[in-house]
Amino acid sequence: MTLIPWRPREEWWDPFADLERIQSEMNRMFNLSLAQQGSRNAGLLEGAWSPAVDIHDSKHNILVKADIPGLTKDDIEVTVQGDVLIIKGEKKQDKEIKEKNYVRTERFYGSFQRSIRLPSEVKVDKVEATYKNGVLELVLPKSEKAKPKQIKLDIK
Amino acid sequence: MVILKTKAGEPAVRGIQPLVNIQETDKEVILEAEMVGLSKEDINLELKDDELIITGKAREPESMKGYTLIHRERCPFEYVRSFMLNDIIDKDKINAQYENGILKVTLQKTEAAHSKKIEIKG
Repeated sequence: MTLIPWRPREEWWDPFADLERIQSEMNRMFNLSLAQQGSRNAGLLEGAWSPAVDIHDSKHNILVKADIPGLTKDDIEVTVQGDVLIIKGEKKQDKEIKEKNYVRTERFYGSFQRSIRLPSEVKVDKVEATYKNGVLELVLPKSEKAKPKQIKLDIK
Repeated sequence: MVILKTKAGEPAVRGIQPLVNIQETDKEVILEAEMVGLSKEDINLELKDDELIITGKAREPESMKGYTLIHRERCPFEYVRSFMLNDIIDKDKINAQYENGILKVTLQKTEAAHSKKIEIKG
């Protein structure tokens, strides 16, 4: 892998353009190496692998997306305790094929757990979960008391 | 016997390399690549001479109207990886399926490459 791609020198050399190139290249490198590792700051109970998670916030809902390849929806367990969301599951290896037949194994198998502190409390009974193309998507409606309230003040 | 390998000296390309498992049986080689977040149409398999190139890119960025991203670990769904195939693979008999974020490529071996049991005469 080349760090900095070769480019023909422009007539007027711009040092900042080079710096920008290095920065974008560095960003790309970090994406390559850290992308598939899931979370770096995983807790004690979290094992060798845990899914990478994005959290989106809106006025009424919290949206959580997790990359969990190769499971079926029955293998995933989602629980909510207060403002903590727990995603659990097990990635199972194909039993039909004997281990000695593997010539390369990079994928992770085994059980995993990920707990995420949500930005606010949610309505546990109204959580919607979908699993499609290896992505788990959770829509968690915020509980009434967690929603921002508008207070009208009479200005005299 | 490793019959598939990642092409050495691969140029730096955009996209992440999907993690793969490769199994070899008497008659076929099965390659499984983790490529989450795509649909079947987003994946492209290309055979260029002896090189099998797998690319995948989600066509439309996920639209998140009304949401603000407060925590990010996932990366854009853009994958590239290539493998060199050798002579024992029948290049006309390659098929692939995509399910639950896993791309499974089945490569059949040529008749000549099937392992045969040889009887020992007493």
